[in-house]
Amino acid sequence: MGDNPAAVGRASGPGSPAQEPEGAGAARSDLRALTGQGMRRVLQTRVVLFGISVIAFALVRLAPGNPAALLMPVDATAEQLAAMEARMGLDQPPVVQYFRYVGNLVRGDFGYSYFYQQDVATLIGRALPNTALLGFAAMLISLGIAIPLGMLAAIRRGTVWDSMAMFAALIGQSMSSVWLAVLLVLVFAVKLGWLPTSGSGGIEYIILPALCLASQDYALSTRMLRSGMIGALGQDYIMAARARGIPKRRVHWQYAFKNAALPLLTVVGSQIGGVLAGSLIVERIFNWPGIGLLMANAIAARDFQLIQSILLISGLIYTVLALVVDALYTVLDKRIVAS
Amino acid sequence: MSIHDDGMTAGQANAAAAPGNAGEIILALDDLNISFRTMGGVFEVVKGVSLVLKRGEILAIVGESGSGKSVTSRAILGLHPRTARISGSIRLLGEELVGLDEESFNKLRGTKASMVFQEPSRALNPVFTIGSQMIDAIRAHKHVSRDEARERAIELLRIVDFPEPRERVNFYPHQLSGGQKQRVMIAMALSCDPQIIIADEPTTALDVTVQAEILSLLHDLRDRFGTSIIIITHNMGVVADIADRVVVMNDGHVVETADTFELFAAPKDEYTRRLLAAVPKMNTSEGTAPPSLSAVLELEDVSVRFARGFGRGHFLAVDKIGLTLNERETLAVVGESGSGKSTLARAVAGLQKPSEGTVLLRGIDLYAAGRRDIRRVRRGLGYIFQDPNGSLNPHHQVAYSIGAPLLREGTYEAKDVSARIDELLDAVRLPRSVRAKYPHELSGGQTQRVSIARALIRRPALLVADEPTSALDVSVQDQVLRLLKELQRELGFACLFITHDLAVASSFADRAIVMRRGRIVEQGPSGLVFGAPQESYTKELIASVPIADPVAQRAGRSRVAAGM
Amino acid sequence: MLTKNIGDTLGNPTDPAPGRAAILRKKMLGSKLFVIGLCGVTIIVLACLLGLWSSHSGPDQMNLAARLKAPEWFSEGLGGYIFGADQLGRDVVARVLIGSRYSISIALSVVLCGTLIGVTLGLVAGYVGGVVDAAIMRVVDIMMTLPTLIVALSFVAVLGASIQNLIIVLSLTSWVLTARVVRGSTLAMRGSDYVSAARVMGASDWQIVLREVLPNVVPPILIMATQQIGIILLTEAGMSFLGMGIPSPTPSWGGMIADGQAYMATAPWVVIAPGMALMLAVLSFNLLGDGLRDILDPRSAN
Repeated sequence: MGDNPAAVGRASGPGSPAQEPEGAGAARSDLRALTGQGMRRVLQTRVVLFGISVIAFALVRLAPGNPAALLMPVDATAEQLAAMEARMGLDQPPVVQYFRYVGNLVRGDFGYSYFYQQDVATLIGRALPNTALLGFAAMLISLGIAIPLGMLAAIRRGTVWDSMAMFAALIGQSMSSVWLAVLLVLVFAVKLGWLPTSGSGGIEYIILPALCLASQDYALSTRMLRSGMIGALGQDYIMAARARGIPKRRVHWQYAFKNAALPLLTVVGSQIGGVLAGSLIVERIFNWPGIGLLMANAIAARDFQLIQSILLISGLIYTVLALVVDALYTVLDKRIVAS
Repeated sequence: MSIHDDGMTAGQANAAAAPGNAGEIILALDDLNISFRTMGGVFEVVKGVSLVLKRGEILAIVGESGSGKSVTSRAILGLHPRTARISGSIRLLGEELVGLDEESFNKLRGTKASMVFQEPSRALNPVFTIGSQMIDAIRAHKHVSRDEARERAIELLRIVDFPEPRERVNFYPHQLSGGQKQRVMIAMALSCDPQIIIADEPTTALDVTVQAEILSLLHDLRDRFGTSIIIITHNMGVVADIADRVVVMNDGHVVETADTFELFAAPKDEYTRRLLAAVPKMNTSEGTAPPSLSAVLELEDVSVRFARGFGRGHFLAVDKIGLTLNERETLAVVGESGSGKSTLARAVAGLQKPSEGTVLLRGIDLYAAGRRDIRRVRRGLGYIFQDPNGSLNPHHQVAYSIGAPLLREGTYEAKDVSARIDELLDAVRLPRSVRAKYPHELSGGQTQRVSIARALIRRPALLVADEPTSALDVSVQDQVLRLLKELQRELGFACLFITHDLAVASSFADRAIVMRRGRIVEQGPSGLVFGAPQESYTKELIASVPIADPVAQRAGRSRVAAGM
Repeated sequence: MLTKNIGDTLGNPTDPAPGRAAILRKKMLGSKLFVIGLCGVTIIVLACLLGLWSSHSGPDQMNLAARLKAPEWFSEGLGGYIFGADQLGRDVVARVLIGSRYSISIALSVVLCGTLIGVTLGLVAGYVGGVVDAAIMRVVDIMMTLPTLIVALSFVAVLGASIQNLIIVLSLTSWVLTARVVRGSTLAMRGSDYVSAARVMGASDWQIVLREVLPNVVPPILIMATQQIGIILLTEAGMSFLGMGIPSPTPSWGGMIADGQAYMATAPWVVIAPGMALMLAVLSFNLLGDGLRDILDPRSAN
C-alpha cells in the first residue's frame, strides 16, 4: 500500500486518500476538473489550428518558382500573373502574408479555383455533404461488420471463430482500396451489372463506394474491439458480476462492452476524421461528387488554391471531431474527469 | 462500530430467520481436486480438499500464495477458469455442484452463495454507477421493478453502514473511498439473501483502520442474519479476529482444520506452526538504543507539494518533516495510504525534489550539491522498492541488474565486479546460478533478494526500504526481514524503513515515526511508540491491527464495542 | 559501448539454462503467423531479385502484337506471357516483379527514416518532459489531424512527383504514431521502479535512456515498423494510382492498376496481377507484425 502521489488525485487507491474530497464535494471538484480540462483542450486546439494553417500556408510557398504562377493556369498572361501577385501580397514579408491569409480564412474567403472557375468555399460547401453521406454509410457498414466480428472473436477467444474473425480483419487491413474498388466494379457493375459503375443518385450508387471505404476501417475496429473486450473480460468486475448471477449475455454486452467500446470510440472518431483521405481514391474511382473527387481533380490540374484549402478543411474536421470524441468520453467514462 | 438497528426492515428480519437450524452443515467439499491443463503439462492446484461449513459459522481458509485457497473458493460458485478440471464433490444445501452447467450456477450465484473480492476498486465496473450495478444484481434473481430494486439497493447500503445511501447511490465507483467500495461490494453480495458469503481477502487492499471496520461489519452481518461466511485470508490476525474455525491450506492440501482458539493455542501441523511463528509480533519492549553515532541522514523542514491538476491548486504530501538518522540505526516510518511516507522516502533518495527544506546525506545537501558531489553522495545510498516485479528491468539479467551500479562508475574491472556479485548473491542466500536469469524467471522473494543485493553492492551508508516485504508471503517476509537485520549488523548501514505494518515496524526498527497527512504525529523509540502511544491517532492505529491471538484480539474487540 | 560489453560478460550463463536466442527461436517457430509472414516476406524479397533476369522481355519492352494478350500460364514455359500482357504489350509478370522492387525499397526506406525520427522524438519527449514534451506533442497533434495521404499528395503535387520526394514526404508524415507510442512507454517507464532504482544507483540520463528505457521500447517499435511497411505500401499504391507516386514509365503496382482500369472489362488480368501482388505483400508484412507481437509480448515469456 504505497502512497504514490500520482494516485492521490484519482481516489482509486486503497483506502481513502485523506486529501481527496468525498461525498458531495466530489461532484463539485468533478465540475471544476471538467472545465479545467475543457479549457486545456481548447488551448491545445488553438495551437493545432495555428499549426494546420501554417502548413497550408507554407504548402504553396514551398514550391519552387513563383507562387502566383502556381495558382494560375499554365497559359496565364503576364498581366494576370501580376494581378495575382498583387492580390496575394507577395511583395510583403511572409508574416504579413500569413496574417492576410488567415484573415481571409476567417472571413470565409478560401480563394478561387481556376480549374473550376469558382469560389473554393462554394465548391467545398457543395461537396462536403456528399462526402459526409458516403462517410456515414461507410461507418455504418464498418461497425456493422466490426462489432459482431470483434465480439465473436473475444468471447470465443482461441477457437476457430476467433481465427476466422482475425483472418477477415487481416484481409481487410491488407486490401488496397484502389484494387478493391476496381474489383468491385469489375464484378458487380461490369460482369453482373447489378450496380452502376459510377456517379451519384439513388441508393444503388452509394453501395459500392461505401463498401470500399468501409473495408479500410472495419479491420482496425474489429481488432480494437477484440483486444478491448479481452482486456475487459479479464477484469475482476466481470467475475464479480458473474458471481452475482448476472446472465452471461448481459455480462458480455453490457458490463464488458461499455468498457471495451471506449477505445473503439477513439478509433471511430479518427476514422471519421480520416474519411477525406479514404474518399480521395474511392470518390475518384466511383466519380462520387465529394471532397475526395474535388481533391483528386485539383491535384491532376495542379489547382493549388483548392489543394491548400482541402488540406486545411481536413485538418479542421479532424480537430472538431477530436473535441467531440473527448466530450463523449467524459460523458461515458466519468473517471476521465477525475484523472 | 455497529449496525444501527433501525436499518433493518421486515425483509431483512425474514432473511435472518432463514429456515434450518444453527450448526447444520450447509456446504461440504469432499475430496475436491482441481487441475489445469496447459501446454507445459497438467498442474494440480487443489489436491483432495475436504471441508464443511455450518450454518451461521465464520470459517477462515488460510494459506500463502499458491496454496489453492482462492481456486477452491471460486469453484464453489463455478467461477474457475474454463481450462480447469474438477473432480470430487461440492454439496451446497444438498445440491451437488461439480459438473453443473453455467445456467444452473447462475441460479445459485447471489441467491445461495455470493462473493466479495479482494480489490473493491477492480471488482466494481468503473463505467456504471454503483446503483445500477446493484439494481442489476437484484433484478438478476428477483422479479421486481427498477424502482423497487432501487429502494432495495438503498436499504442494503444502509445495512452495511454506507453513508448517505440515497444521495450516493448514483455515484460512480471512483467517487468512493476503498472502504466505501468494499461496503458496496458487501451490500451487493447480500442483495438476494444468500446463506453463504465467500470473502476472498476482503481487507487486504485496505488500510488497517478500514480493515477493522469491514471485519466488524462481516461479524455483525453473521450475528444479525445468520449468514455463514467463508473468509479467505493470508493474515493470521484477521483469522484470530473473526473466525470460528480455521482450515489451513498448503500446496493444494488441507493440512489442518481446527477451532480458532485451539489452532492458535496448540497448532498440530508442522506447517501451521511455521506459519504462526513467521507472523510478526508487536514488540513493545524498550530495547537498547544503539550508542549515539554520527548522523547519516538529516532532514530539515522538508515539504513536498504536488499540483492537484489543472486549476485545482496544490496539496502537501509531506509537510515540514525534520528527522535525523544515525549510523547503524533503523528508523521506521509508518502510516496509512496517503500519509506521505513513500513520498518522504523518494525525497530522501533524491528522486523527488522537496519544495522546501533540505535533505542532508552525510552532511551534503542532496539537491544543492554539484554534479561530482551528488555522485559521491549517491554512492552512499541504496533503495529497495515495494513491488518485486517492477523494481528490476525485465530486459536485464540478474547479474547486470546487481552489477550495473558498479560498472557505471567505470573504475572497476569486470572480474572484480563479477566477484562482488557472487559475494552479494551469497550474502542474500541466492544460488549463483540466478546470475543469468531474467526477473520473470524468479519468485517474488527471490526478486526482492536481488533488489537487496543491488542496493548493497556499493556498500551504502543508508538503505531506504520502501515497504520491501508487503508484497510477500508471511514466511518469505520473515526470511527477508531476518536477512536485512543480519546484513545490517554485518555492514553497519543505517536504514529508513517505510511500512504500513505496525508489527513489522515495531520488531524491526529502533525508532519509529508515525505519519498522517504529511505530518509527523508521533515519534520516539519504537518500543515506546507502539507500547505506550501518546497520541490518539497512534492509539487508534494500534487498536486496529488484528493480533494473531484470538484471546487477546477478542478481548480487545469487546473493549472497543463497549467503549462505543 | 564499454558498459555493454562488460554487461554481456557478466551475463555469461554459468549454467546450461536455455539461452535467450534459443528461447526466441523456439517461440518464432511456434508462431504460425510469424512463420507464414516470414515466408511471404522472403518470397517477396526473392521476387524482387528474380525480377532482374526472369522474363524474356524487359518490363518496358513493348510488343504491340501482344497487346492485352490473355495469360498463357505455363503453356509456353517460363518464356511466355504467364499472366498476359498489358495495353502496350508489356509482360505483366515482369512489370509486377520490377514494380515490387520499387515499392518495397521505398516502403523500407520510409519506415526506416520515419522510425528513426519517431523513436528519437518520442524518447526525448517522454524522458525530458516539460516544455520539450509539450512542444513535440503539439507537433504530433498537428500531424495527427492531417491525414497522411492528403498531406503527402499535397506536397508531392507542389514539389513534383519523384521517388526521392515520395520518400521524403512519406517519412515526414509516418513518424507520428511511433513517436506517440515511444513517448507513452518512455513516460510510463520514467516513473517505474527500475528506472528510479537506476537513478538512485547513480546512472546518468544517457545511461538510463540507452540501457533501461530503449531496450524495452524495441519490441513495440519492431512490431509497429513491420506493420507500417504495409501501410506505406498501400499509401504509395494510392498515390501512384493518382499519378503522384512513382512517376511513369517506372512500373509501380498502383500505377499499373490505374493504367489497366480502362481495359478492365476485356483484360481483367492487367489489374488483377498488380493488385494481387500488392495484397500478398501487405498481408505478408502484417502477418509478420502479428507474429512478432506474439513472440515479443512479455506476457508470453514462459
